[in-house]
Amino acid sequence: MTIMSSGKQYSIVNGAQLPSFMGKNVSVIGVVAKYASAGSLSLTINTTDNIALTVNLNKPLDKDLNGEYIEVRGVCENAREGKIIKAEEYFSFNNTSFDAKSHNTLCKFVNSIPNGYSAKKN
Amino acid sequence: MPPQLSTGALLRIMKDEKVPEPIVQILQSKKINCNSDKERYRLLISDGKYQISHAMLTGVSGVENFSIIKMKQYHLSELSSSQKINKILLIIGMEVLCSMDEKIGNPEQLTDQVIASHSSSEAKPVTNTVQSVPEQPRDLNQSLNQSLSESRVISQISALTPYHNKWVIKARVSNKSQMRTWSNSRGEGKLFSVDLMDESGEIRCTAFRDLADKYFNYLQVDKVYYFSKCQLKPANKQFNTLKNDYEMTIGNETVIEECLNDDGLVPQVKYSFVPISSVAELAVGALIDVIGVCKEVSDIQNFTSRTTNREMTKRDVILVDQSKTSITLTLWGSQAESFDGVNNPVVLVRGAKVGEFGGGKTLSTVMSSQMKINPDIQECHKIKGWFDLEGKESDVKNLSERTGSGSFQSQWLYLKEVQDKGLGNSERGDYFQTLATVLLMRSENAIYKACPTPDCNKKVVDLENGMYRCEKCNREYPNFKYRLLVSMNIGDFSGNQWVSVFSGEAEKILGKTSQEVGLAMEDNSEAGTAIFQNANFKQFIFKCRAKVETYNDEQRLKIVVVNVENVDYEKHSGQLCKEIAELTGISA
Repeated sequence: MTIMSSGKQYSIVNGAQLPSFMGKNVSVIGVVAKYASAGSLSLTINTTDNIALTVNLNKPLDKDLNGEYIEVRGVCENAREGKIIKAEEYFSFNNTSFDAKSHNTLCKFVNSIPNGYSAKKN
Repeated sequence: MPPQLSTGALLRIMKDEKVPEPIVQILQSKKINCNSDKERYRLLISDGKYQISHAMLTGVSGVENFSIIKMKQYHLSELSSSQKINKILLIIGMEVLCSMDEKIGNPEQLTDQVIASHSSSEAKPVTNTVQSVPEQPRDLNQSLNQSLSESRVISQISALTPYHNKWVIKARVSNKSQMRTWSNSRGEGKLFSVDLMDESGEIRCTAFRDLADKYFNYLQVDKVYYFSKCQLKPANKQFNTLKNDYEMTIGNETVIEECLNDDGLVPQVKYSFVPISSVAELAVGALIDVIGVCKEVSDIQNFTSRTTNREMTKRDVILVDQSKTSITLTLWGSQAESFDGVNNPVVLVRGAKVGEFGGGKTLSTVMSSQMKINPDIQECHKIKGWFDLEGKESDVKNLSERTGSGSFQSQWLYLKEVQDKGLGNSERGDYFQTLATVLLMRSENAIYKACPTPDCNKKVVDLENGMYRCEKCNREYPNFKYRLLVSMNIGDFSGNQWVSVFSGEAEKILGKTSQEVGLAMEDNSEAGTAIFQNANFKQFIFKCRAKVETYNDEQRLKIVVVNVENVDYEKHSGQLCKEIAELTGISA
């Protein structure tokens, strides 16, 4: 399953699924693992299946982030077995509570169940 | 070569001796007309030396003349006719060994005189041979324990019939009822009954009036007793679910004695315990054995039954077991009064009835249920150990929950499924829950004036003189309270449905009390209507009861919302994930 954003399509994935999406547009949700101050160009998140990812931003952070859930959209980079995301945009949920378990389950479902509503043929 | 007949066996049998599986020849058989559906034959049988004509065969569809049979089970029964006592040999179980076409030997008719002469020759010499009195049955009042040790034959429960009365059974009391009273046009009295079991089967035994008093405390569950001289009659299947065609009644001549050395030959009561979690799938009315720890206990409630106008007493006990599920068990009468829930006792109920209330499953004791507290059996110790170690702290699902948000007891359905599945055709209605959006709440006719008494919500009649009359309370009041009965359309992706909502739940949707809504409508109907419109497009989880009702010969599905809840999205997504996992086979 994919989501559309600024004309691009992003696949919703968890940490474990990233290696099969290398070079592709992905959307990952995770909790900011280490304190990242405004102005940083890089941060670390733990995905909903508890895998640490490095996120490289295309513009500096506009505020401090720590312990919050964020959604990162960007390209999964080939280095370090796909554990780097070159982010095009991110959204902070301004929220430390998030139903990580359900989201993780969702990632499993969306990437293993064929989309019966899709107009394209797989 | 035909089998050897047990020569002289009939004489010994007629003298009350026990002869194991004697082999005899049938000389003649004649079908007896009787009302019973079982066939019965009168036989002339011979053991080669003697022949008797007072023999009867039941439960078998006839034997050919001159057949040689092995009598596997038989009884000597006494029939007292006008003057003398006739002994009848009743054959209950037999096996045909071979068929013959002629009589073996030249048997002599076994008369009372022959029997008497033989018994007198063995016993004390009797001078008067003409007036020989048939030997009396042993004095049972003496002591059954004693007489039994003298190798008295014990009958099996399954072999008891009304056709013979000279028997002793050794049976365990598996169940004892409460003392009950009855009162009808023919009089009144009291009774109680016990269920007896041995290795062959079970039978119910009932005592009335004085005899009920006499034996009520004497007979105790799980003990073994000898029973003799009860009356047998066909069982009334309406009240008696035991697997026996007969039941017994304790009479004045009945002898009951506790078996002092319970040698374990009489089987213990067996339970087939059902885990509480499985009760959810059982049909209402099923009788089950259940064991659980008493987690909570309610106070005693006294009320008057609406149907019988009788005073009733009940107490609710919450039971929990290793399936981490709890259920409400309702006890009645003296069981409710005497129940002590201190220190979380283990409660065992044999034959508890499964019920349903408000969408949750419940258990209840019935007349035939047997309850035990902390029984000394393995299951009891296991469950107690589990409870003390872990069960006390762990979260349990409550099967009896009526309104809560547990998802397991009422099924999740989409609105179209409610139609497709044809819900509402069961007698008590079907429950389901659904996540849906309020599409429209009808503000017209949504409020009514109700009786101001707290528990009475009956619509009052405006007497137009400042007074309001409640037909239910049969009183007039100067005031009333507003209540809501709203017709509402709810929808999900699959369809939409009109449902009815009462005050309590409508208030949750509207966010205002019925009184506030009523007053707002009275003051300014536009403002009132706005309250209803505000609720549109809000999403809730609705628990509903669907029931098909007939208006003017037209069948309509009526759905009443019994509970409204705000959506717990985390919980709901968990529910959806579970459904997807089940549908796709992909584990979450």
